[in-house]
Amino acid sequence: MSVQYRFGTTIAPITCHAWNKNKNQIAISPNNQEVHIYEKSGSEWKIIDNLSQHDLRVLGIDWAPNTNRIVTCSADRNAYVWNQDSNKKWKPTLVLLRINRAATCVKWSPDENKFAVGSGARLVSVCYFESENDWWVSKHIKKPLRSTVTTLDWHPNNSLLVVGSTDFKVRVFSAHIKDIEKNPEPTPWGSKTTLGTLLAEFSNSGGSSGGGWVQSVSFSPDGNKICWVAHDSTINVADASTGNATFKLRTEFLPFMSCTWITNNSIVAAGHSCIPVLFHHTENGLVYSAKLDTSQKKESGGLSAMKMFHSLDKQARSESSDTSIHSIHQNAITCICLYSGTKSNCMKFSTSGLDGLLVIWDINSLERAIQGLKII
Amino acid sequence: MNTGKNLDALKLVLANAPLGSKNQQTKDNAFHLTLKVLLSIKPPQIEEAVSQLSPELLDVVMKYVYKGFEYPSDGSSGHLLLWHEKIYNQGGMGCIVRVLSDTRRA
Amino acid sequence: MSATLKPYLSAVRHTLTAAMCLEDFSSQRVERHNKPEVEVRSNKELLLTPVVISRNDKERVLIESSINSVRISISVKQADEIEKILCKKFMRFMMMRAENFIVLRRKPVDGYDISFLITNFHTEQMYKHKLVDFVINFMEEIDKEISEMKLAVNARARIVSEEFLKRF
Repeated sequence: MSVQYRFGTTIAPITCHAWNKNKNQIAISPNNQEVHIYEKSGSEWKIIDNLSQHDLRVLGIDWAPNTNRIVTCSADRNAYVWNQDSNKKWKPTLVLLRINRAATCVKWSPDENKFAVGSGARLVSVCYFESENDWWVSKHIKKPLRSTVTTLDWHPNNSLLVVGSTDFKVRVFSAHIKDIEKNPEPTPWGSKTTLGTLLAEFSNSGGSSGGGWVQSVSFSPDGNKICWVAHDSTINVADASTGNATFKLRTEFLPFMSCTWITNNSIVAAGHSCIPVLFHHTENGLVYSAKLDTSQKKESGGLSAMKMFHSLDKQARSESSDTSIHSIHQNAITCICLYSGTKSNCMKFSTSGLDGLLVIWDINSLERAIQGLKII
Repeated sequence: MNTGKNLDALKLVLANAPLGSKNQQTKDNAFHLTLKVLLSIKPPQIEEAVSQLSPELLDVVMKYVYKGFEYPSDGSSGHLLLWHEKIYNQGGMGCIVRVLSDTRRA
Repeated sequence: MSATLKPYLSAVRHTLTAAMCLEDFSSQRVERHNKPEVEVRSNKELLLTPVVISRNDKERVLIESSINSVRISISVKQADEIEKILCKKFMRFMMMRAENFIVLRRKPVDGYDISFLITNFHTEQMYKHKLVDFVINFMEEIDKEISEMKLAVNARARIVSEEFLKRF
């Protein structure tokens, strides 16, 4: 149902991870300025390369499956694009981001000819390759971002970008670079194509529940819907095909840090509650479907009544304190990636978190194991 | 409220809570009123009252409970602690997180 | 009085768990720096609403949270003069050794007796639920320790004065 891996001997948190096309190699950053590439041999992972060009913590990694390039961004205001040379070693190419604060997140576009980097400088850099000088140049999207950009995602048409930030707003921009690509088809989001045009803005405050930093955004596989999770423990969906209608669901879990669509109507989100949770989006709205982690706590041998009463009296807790909690991940989950399948039909996804574990979840066997769980 | 219809009074006062208001006086008045209602509902009835509230109103009640903690008077904290527990049982962690992350205070 | 202890501790525990959802956040103001936002307080949007949980008007806990750090300030029950002095000395003792404590703050926040500062680095190295257990345990133990110390002081004072007055 779910497989767990630990890389190396450290128990450092995994800041972020990215798979290659065949899913036999993974790039992870163990909470420092290096990126380790591991290759699967049998059921073990062997480290095959160490990319250490950054000076400060690496905050985002993305691996372009078709062109086999890795892009990393870090708190030292830099991003590098890594290409594999003939020795299978990864060599970095400089990216001119022109930002003066940390780069917080990075994603390749679907066609892999450009990527977007969000930063604490309150802007998004969309970068493309300039072959005359052999470097990557960037164009900035500045207005009207007011605070650090925490997350971004590309529309399947390679031109639209959805951005979430700590000013409680989710915005859809056009990230079209006319130097390198043709005009895209118009979408329900809007038809202007100049870089940086704001096509839609959604606020996570207003109504009767106020602000919460946007932790993660994701475009649906058909590109007409976006979902975002925010720090006020809500998950929201906005649908462009119905005039930008938004649906908000307040959950009783701790805030989610990451979310992704696994079919055109189902979203998996995971975060501080340490378990992935499934939600469905239908015409009626957004509903909670199931928790995807059904681990039971291991029975500790010989739990005496006295000990239980003692801890009940002392700490107002009704179970004896021990260091494990009822889930596979022991600390917050920070990153979800699709492992097999695409956004419209995902079969497996992987999660990594602050406990240094990488877990791969198999949706088919979860569907069988959890009663009443249906992926629509 | 004097007729003993405490539950309805609670719903009324929560639905009209001036959370977005900039006028401190309005907010203070609303706060005192809400606190009075909260304290007048007896402990056995708290659970029933909580189960009748919608998720949005649950968040609002939690906000007022926390505000009530800031100005403790005789026995109010004990009563508010009971409210806190019952609301948590209903709304879970999310309810508390929303109180923390909401920029509009009670 | 002790009827409120269990709900008080459980309310504090739940609120702490909710407030301790921290993540790494590089400073927006200064490049290449990573500061606890709850201490710097430079950007209002990064701070959460501070909440107070009180057991009565003497004992309360203030929890201020932000995107990468949480500040917990505790005000301890001090019923009479001698408890006030004992509390002050005890807290001073601990705060001078704040480095060894890791999560303790060297100075308490105004109006409170002792403060903790927990950052995302701490939650990365240590389990969050154990950090919360530690704070709750601390709150419980403080009251016990101060009562014990008070008894010890009174006992010593009695013995000393007996010995002294035997001479007369």
